[in-house]
Amino acid sequence: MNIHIGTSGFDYDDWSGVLYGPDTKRKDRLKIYAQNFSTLELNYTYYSMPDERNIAAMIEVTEGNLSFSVKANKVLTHTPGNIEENAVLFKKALQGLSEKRLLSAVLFQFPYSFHYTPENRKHLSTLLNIFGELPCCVEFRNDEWSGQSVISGLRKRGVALCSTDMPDLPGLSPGFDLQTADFGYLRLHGRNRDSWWSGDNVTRYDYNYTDREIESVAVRVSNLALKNDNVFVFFNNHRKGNAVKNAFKLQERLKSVQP
Amino acid sequence: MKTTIVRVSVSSFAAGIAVASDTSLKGKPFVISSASNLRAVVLDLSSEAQKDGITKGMSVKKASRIIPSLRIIPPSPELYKKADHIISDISGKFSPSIEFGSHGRFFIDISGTSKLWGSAIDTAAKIMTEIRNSIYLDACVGTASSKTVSEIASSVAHPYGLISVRHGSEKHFLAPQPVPLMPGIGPVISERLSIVGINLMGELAGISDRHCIKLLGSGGIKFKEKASGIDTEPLFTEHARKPSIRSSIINQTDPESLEEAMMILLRICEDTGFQMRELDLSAMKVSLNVAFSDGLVRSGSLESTGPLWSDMEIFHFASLILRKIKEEKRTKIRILTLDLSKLSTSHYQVPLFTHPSVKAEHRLQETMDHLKKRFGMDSVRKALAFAAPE
Repeated sequence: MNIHIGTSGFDYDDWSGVLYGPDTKRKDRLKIYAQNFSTLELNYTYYSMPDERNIAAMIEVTEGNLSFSVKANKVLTHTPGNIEENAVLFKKALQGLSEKRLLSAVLFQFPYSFHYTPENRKHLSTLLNIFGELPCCVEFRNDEWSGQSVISGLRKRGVALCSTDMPDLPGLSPGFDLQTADFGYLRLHGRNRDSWWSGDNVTRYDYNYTDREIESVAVRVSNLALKNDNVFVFFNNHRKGNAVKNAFKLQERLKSVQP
Repeated sequence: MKTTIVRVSVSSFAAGIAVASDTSLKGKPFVISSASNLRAVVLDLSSEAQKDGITKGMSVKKASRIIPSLRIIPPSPELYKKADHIISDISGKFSPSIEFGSHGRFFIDISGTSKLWGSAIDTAAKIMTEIRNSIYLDACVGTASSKTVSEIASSVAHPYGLISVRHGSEKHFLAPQPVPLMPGIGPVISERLSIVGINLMGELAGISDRHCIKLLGSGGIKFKEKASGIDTEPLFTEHARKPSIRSSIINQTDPESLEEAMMILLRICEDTGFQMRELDLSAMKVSLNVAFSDGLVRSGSLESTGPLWSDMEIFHFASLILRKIKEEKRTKIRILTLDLSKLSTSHYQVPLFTHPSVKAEHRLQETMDHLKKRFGMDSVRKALAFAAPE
């Protein structure tokens, strides 16, 4: 079993004093990140289309020591309509990572508004067909995607169903810790109930896991690792560097179960 | 306080225990069955055997034709009992409120324990880990606000994993699940619903009460409510249900004939009756649950006007139930479960003015119990029970 722990994103100003020094230049952040973690979930790719040159530069900076999970661009997951052209473009940008075997997964995170409708099922199927040969992971926020047929469909395609940790609020996808691919994927969004619906993408993830909660996360990760060759764990509670602090704690806790 | 139920179901319980006690079986195709019997059926199997098309209930003869090197492992009821005890102890650490089935299936009410164990998903993950670490068995776990939803979640998680359904999300979670996953709905009801285009629980939840009764009878409303996420059934914990005494026999021979089934029933009445008398109890109610080889389950119960104490009294009631069930359904029986309830703690007394044959039966029962206590359950049995296939 291989457990890889990292964070969702790395380029945050409020991580100064936590992961980066006060004088660390922005261009040096990724290098420092790679010295501390073995995997990273790239999330700038959600906001803007990645290009091959940019990705190649990241591989160079991290000297092949960092694996990347790449969050699919919003035009693929949050916009209805024809996605094929953009999907092909996005996939092309990941070629370098794939060739160097540094691509952990392509993460498709669908919003709460992505309901279980025939159109959306077709949308998902189209995406998974295009990205078929790459390791893919799907995260649903809406609880309508919890049918046995969805799970068995992902299993047939070897697509990971994202395990998540988020506030216990009605309507949100159930907590899944299942094996549908040869790797497991856990995203930790924090348990901030108060600002989950009303907050923005900073306040929603403003949460610091307690030591007891980290212990529970470790148990879930160990369970996932029993049936998956690789498990990728990403802390998305990035505000004030909480993701980094929590990831370090989890790394420490899981040291004993790592080979 | 919100109710949170955890359903744990150990996958391939008997096969898992076989591997745990003999690691040479790991990764090999094998089935659990009585090797000595020509009519034996597959009771459980390894995932490797499953991959090659062997299924539960298949005859061992046929299974051996599919995989000639197939290993046949006899059932180990003692080990199963031990494993169930260990799982029961593990569950007891998390909550005192447990409804225990058998073969690694149970419900735990963890409501109000979050300060101790964390959220529902955290607690469930810990239970899975403890079972794995203690007896090397994999479990499917579901958590939800009710027994039904948690049980369905654990079925969806099969063969290994965890699904935690959030409070308020029950209806959405159930809507896309196939109807046969609903506890109590077997192939016959599923087929009947499928004919009218009802294949998913959401579709069942959406029909009118009138339509539901027309399709499934008055009992169908219960399924419709459950498909909508409405289920208020409490846990039948040892404390809540007063001690009910239960025994099961898994048939390895699939008795088709009523006579053969009666022999097995007498055997189970003897085992359950002995347990009851050991506790100085007598029962007023006899319930019988019959699982057929096609997956359908039928049950019935009868109440007596007076306390039932001897094996033959219990058998009399149980046989009436079995006879009725077998009249309606002639399929092979796989599991018989007998429950004695409405127990009375007052020790049974033979009425003063009673027929001498009743007194003789009472004395015979006491003598048999005495021998069983000293020399084991199989040291003495009624001739009919001895004739029951092993």
